[in-house]
Amino acid sequence: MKVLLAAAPPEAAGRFAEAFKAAGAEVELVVEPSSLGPLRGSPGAFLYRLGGEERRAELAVLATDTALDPAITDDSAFRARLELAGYEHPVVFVLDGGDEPPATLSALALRRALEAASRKRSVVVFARDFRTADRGVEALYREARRAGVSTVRCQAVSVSESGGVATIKASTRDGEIEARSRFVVSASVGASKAVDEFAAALRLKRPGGADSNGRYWLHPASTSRRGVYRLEAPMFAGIPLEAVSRSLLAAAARDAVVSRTAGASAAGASAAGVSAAGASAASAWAASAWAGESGAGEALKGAKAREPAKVDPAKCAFCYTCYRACPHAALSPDPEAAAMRVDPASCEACGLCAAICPAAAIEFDGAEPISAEGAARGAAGVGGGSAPARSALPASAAGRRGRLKIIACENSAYHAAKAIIAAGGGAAADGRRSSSGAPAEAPIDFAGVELESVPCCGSVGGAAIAEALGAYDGVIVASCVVDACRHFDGNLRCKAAAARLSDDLERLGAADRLTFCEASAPMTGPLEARIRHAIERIDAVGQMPGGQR
Amino acid sequence: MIVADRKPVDEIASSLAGYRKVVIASCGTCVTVCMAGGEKEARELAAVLSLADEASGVERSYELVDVKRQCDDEFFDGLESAFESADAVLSLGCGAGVQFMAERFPSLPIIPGLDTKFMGASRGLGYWVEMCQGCGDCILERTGGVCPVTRCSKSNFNGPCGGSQAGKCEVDPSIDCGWQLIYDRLKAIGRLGNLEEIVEPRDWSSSRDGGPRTSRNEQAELAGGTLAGSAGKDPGDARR
Repeated sequence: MKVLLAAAPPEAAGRFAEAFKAAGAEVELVVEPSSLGPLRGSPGAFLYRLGGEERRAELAVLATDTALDPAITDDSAFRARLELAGYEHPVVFVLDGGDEPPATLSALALRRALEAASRKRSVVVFARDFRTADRGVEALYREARRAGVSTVRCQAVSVSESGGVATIKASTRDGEIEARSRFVVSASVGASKAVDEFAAALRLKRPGGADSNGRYWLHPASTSRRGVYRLEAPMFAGIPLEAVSRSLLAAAARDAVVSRTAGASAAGASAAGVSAAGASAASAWAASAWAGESGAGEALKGAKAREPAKVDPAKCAFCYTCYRACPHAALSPDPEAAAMRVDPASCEACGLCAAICPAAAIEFDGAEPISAEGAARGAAGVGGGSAPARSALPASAAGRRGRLKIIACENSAYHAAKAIIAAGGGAAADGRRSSSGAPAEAPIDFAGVELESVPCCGSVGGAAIAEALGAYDGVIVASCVVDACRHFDGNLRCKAAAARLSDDLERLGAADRLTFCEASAPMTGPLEARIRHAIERIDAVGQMPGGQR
Repeated sequence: MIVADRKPVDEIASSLAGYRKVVIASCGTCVTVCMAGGEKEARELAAVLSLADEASGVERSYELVDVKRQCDDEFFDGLESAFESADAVLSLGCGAGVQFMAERFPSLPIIPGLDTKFMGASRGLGYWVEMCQGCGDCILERTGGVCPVTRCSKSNFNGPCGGSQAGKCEVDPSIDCGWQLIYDRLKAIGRLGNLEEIVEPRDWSSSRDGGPRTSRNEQAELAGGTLAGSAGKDPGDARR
């Protein structure tokens, strides 16, 4: 696996590189932030520029080494000192340096503070600010406050010690505060300029957060961006770096898992029957890793080889939306045409670009409708694509309404749905009976139910779902388990589009006939429950007026 | 770029009450890029509205028309028949597009589908921030390229105010203090000295306070003349 390793300070870089090499990775070591261009793409298919040259990596790691108080990094050191400190004085945490402690440090300190509070100590945490934008830290902060931990926001703080008792002086907005303690955990931020610059190049800062000085992307081991990891050496004190590297590589493998990657051909199919994009070794690796782990090779067979997405330069607004969204870095600007172009070798035909393209300029044919009864039907525009400048609505034009449409990711939920339909609605019955003792449920009547496989639910935009709702009494959109595939962005977007539509329909007082759910190939039980519920709801609400089956 | 949000769908539905034949006009420029009023949003909105109509027994048809740019005359050429046969047009253009269409089709109700918000820039996928208020008298050269009119909540010219806390604005802690940004930026470009110059109170008549504004390029005007049909409609004409 090819790893882009950004390391600071340079003295520590060699150690990190050795660890990753020992763990079996091919390492691209970067110690000079300015030489690194912005990181694009997603786990398994990152693209970046180094010294003006375009390169690829499957995983990116920002490794740093900062000296920290062992009491904050090491459980046993913390507990030993807590015992020694006794009950007379409070336990004091001082988080200083920089504008605010990074989320990593806040989280660690708050966790320790909670532990001390639960051991009947009074606890005071001094910090310039608490970066609570990070959801984990916010929850911890609240919990700590509830447990009686006092938090003091201060502009400056100093610690002096005499006779084993430390005096902490802090200036706050309301004046000076002084505390005495036998146990002061002091942690300064190690984040350096180089780290900030690396973070910018690795695109770790998210909109909506602090753009200038925020370092909340510093999670203990991961970052705000999937496939980009943090290795803050002291946070893994006591664990050999090689072992940490190995676990990061394993985590990256999980991130990059792709159940199937479509390519121009299935030439990359391995002996295990895995169909993978021949173009990308990363994808082949990920696909075989997944098949090896879950024995899902069977599910990957028979995938349709798709044409890469196509940009219509006449419609392209040159807005860079697809460029930013493509997980495979397959879109690049063509300044002469003032339009984006697709690199067919990189395009994995996932359709994410077509769904997000604001100008409907990307043509992509991804949907494969399969009627539950075997009769094929039109795809109702699912899968993006472009519409003519003037068009009548498919719903009104069709004049005929189906009963239930299941739009499912061909890598996961589609297989579950197919199994449910094949079993006539009893696919999950055995499992349920054994756990609950309840009898199997009645078979489902699949008349008028259609199943459509899409390469990724991220290829299904809000317009396509809305139009499907016009053509069917009910629609289920079943994506991969959001975090379980490398198109997590696509899954999340589809989920958001479905939520927006449901909200719109509710505001309009129209019956909500849309279900979004996540399902992996073996998750027939939950998906079957959704299908049952959707059909029951359709039957209860009744057909839409004017519809006929 | 002009940034807009789609109006709540129930608000759109109620403003369409009574119209049986509706054209939904998307706009292919700014609001397409900010994913509020493009072809796809029009398709989605039409589908959602038809579902609601069906559920409530309202008979109404929707036709989608994609206008490349709703604020320029020629882009409507050839689309007249589609518009004029409608009872109303739901425009997914910005406020300028809606008003331009209202002038272009004097007898047709033009209903806004968007709330036009600001002139801004993209800070990443699906995220836009306000950058300019079009005040008509730019001083960005003094403030290091960060606009005090827009990015300071109070439009202070000699900031920061007392409400600047740790780089954040007292109006809302999620807002960066504009004057902190100006300070950081001036520091970065070695122009902190600019802060010592007091910016005098300004004449805001170049901004909205002077009433609706116009902009004229006389060279172009002389060469091409005024567009047919728009003479006398400029709000500034009376003042010239």
